[in-house]
Amino acid sequence: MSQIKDAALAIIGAGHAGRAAADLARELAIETVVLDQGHGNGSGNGALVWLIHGDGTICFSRDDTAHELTAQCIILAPGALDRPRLDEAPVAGGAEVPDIQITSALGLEHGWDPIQRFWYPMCGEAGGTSLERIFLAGAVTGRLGQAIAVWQGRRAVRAVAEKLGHDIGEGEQSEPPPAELQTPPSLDAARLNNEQIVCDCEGTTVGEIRRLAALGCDDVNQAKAFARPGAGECQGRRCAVAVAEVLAAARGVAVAEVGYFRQRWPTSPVSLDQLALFQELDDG
Amino acid sequence: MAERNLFDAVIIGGGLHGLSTAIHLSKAGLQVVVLEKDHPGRHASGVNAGGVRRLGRDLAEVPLSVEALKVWHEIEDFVGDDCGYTTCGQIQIAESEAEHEQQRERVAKLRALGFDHERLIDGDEVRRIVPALSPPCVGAIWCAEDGAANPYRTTQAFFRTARAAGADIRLGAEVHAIERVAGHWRAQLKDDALEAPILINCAGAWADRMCRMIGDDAPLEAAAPMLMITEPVEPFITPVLGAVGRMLSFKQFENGTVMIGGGQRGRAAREVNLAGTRLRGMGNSAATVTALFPQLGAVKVMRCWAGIEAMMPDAIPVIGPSAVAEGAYHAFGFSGHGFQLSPIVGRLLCELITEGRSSLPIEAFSITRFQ
Ligand SMILES: Cc1cc2nc3c(=O)[nH]c(=O)nc-3n(C[C@H](O)[C@H](O)[C@H](O)COP(=O)(O)OP(=O)(O)OC[C@H]3O[C@@H](n4cnc5c(N)ncnc54)[C@H](O)[C@@H]3O)c2cc1C
Repeated sequence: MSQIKDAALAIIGAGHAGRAAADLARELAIETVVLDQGHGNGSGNGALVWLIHGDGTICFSRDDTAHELTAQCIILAPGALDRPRLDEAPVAGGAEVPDIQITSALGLEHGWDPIQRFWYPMCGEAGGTSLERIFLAGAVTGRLGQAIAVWQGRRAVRAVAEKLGHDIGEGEQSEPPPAELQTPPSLDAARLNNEQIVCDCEGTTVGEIRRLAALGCDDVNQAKAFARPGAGECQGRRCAVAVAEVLAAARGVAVAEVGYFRQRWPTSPVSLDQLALFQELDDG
Repeated sequence: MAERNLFDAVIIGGGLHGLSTAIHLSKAGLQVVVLEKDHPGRHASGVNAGGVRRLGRDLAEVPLSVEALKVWHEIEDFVGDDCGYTTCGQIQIAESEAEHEQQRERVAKLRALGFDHERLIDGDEVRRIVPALSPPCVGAIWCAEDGAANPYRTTQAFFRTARAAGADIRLGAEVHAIERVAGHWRAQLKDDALEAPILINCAGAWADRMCRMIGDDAPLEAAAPMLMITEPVEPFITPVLGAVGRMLSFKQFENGTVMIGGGQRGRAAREVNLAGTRLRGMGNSAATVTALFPQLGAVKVMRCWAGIEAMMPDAIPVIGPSAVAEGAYHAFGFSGHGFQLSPIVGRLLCELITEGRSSLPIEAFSITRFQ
């Protein structure tokens, strides 16, 4: 168990937003750690984040060593995932959904975007959240596109700098560039047939979700408890939207009412040997 | 039609104990309403390890546990579903002579009380039952007739059965206050109130609040035991396995996944329904498993979770009448092992309420022990 030197700022995810944030943080001389699990994708450094606490504690592993560090502020920029295909409608203009595993595990509040058809974590203009040390930037916020990601990454760093008491002068006060609005054709959930698989990992079908709705199952977490959609290998990354849409259609309510999967740390599968690395950890 | 709000009994909490009590009382002809602030199975009853274990129970719990197992063996007769129950056996291993000596004393004590369900076995027999076990093992206690069930399915089946028996089960119905009105109990919801001469507190990790509302007091701690489940691996073990000297409960399911638990605790915040996981506890469980089964080191843990459970200082539940108020009863504080007891406690409460006495001894569970 190694205790990495604490940092003023930790940035999780080194995509457009994360990299822009890291660049500005360096310019402003804010002591920063960047963690990104990608192996050899240019920006990744093999750091797999296991757990983040609202108090700034981060546990991660890299090359079979467990690490813990405390950051005064954290910018989460985990980006977006490919939109899973359920209906056969063309994907034009709507192939991504925010990766909300980490924000859900942190217990942040999420909203449903009925036009872009995905869940996104709530945050303020500068990325601030209900947890005072945690900021968001990039596609995870549901605002997609490179320009806005870079703007959000920099904006979040300025908010962090202010919070840490750094003098950043006037700084740039630019308006945010427009996000790329995705308008995926709405899923005609009522027309899907019962045999269709919604959750690949657990093999949960549309018919099963409909049966649960008829039994009085109100939200996706109840559905997960009863029929396991979202409980497998990908932890709902691929099926979260589809399960919500099918359940909402079966109940005849808005998707916002059926909710999103509650995640628990660690949000990705890890081996028992790796997990055992953390037995000495004191995570309160 | 206006919803009815006068009943024979109001049950607070739609976990397994509330539902079981509702089934028994409804079958006895009482008009029952169950008030559940979330949904059945949202808390301990739906997220536990499903262990159906008599092995190692507190002596006071043994008679109840033995009777409960009889119901588990015929669970379909009780709730119309097999609840995923299998008689896979439960084994508790001893890794040293001192641990095995402790087991000998335990089994002798049970024998003296007339119970022979816990059987001492030697190291050879342990290896026959669990060939995959790595470290040398001196012996074990073996309960071949114990088993495990699926908590989701069980909760669903209890829920359906209670409704079919005539119980009115209200979801999203949080009790905010309890008052005594003209010899009746009135349970106050946000925008409704239900009345009955009988009130039953099955509110799990929130039960101490209900106690205070009726004038009782119970030192309950809301804790969050954690569980984790692995990816599927080749079948290698049948019984549920625990160990004298380690915090462990270990079970492989038919689909090959392995559930790992044993009392490591996460973070509980009952005000916001939160049961969070803790890495250290999970790390400890992982280390225990790989010490016993090194071949599992590379196996991936798919999911970790925790549930909010009511723990009592003496680790046995509160079952029985209120110490101070007439017509009020409790069943809570199951301290990490109430799943197995769920078919029986409801029956005992029903007997208390309808006949004034219970068929099994429950004095040890009286709330007066904390006064
Ligand atoms: C991780 C874990 C593993 C476990 N493993 C096992 C095992 O292997 N074997 C075993 O025998 N036991 C096990 N247990 C214990 C077992 O799950 C519990 O003892 C049992 O489910 C308790 O049932 P209950 O009905 O008392 O509580 P619960 O299931 O918690 O139900 C109480 C209900 O009351 C409701 N409620 C509370 N306050 C109010 C209010 N004011 N108004 C309305 N409703 C209210 C709650 O929402 C809740 O649904 C485990 C527990 C956990 C958490």
